[in-house]
Amino acid sequence: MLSQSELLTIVCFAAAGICMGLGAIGTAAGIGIIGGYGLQAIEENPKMEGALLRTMLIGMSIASTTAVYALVIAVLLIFVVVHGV
Amino acid sequence: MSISERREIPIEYLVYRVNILKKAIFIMLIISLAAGFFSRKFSIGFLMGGAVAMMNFSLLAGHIATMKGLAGKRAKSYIMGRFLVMYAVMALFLFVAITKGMYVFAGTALGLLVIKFAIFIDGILIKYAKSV
Repeated sequence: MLSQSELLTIVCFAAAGICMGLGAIGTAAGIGIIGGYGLQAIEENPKMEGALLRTMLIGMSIASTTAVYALVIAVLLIFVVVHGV
Repeated sequence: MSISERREIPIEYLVYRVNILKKAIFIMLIISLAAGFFSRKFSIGFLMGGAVAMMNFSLLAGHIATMKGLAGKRAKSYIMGRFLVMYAVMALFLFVAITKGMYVFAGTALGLLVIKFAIFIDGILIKYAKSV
C-alpha cells in the first residue's frame, strides 16, 4: 500500500507530465501551422520575404508563450511540491 | 543549398529583430529598477528571465531565417532539435531560479514575458499612438 507522500509524488509527476504534454500540443500545432503557411507564402511571393519572416517571428514567439508557462508549472510541481526546494 | 545562400536574411527582418531586442532591454531595465526598490531578489530574477527570453528570441529569429533554406524533413528535424535546446535552456534557468527562492522564481517566470511585452508595445501601442 502506498503512503500518502508517495501517492502525492506520483500524482505530482503525472500532473507535471500532463501539464507539459497538453501545454505543448497547442504550441506545436500553432508553430507548425505558422511555419508551414509562412514558407508557402514566401515561395509564392518572394518579394515580401522580409515582412513574411517578421510576421512568422512574431507569431512563433507569441505561440510559444503557453508552452513556457506549462514549463513553469511543471517545474513548480516537480521541484516545489515533490522535492520541496 | 550552401550555407551562404541560406544566410541571406532580408534587412527589414534584421532591423525588426534589433528593434524588438532594444525595446525588451528597455522594458527589462525599467521593471527591474522599479521592482528593485521592493525586492532585490525579484529584480534579479526578472533580469535573468528577460535575458533568457531575449536569447531565445534571438535564436528563434536565426532559426527561422535558416529554416527557409532547408527542405522538408531536414527543416522539421532542424527546428525540432533547436526548440528542444531552447526549452532545455529555459528549464535549466527556471531550476536555478527555483533553488534561489520563490521571489527569484516569480521574477524569472515574469521575465520570460519581456519579449511579448516588447512585441505588444511595438505592434500595438506605438502604431496606435502614431495613428492618433
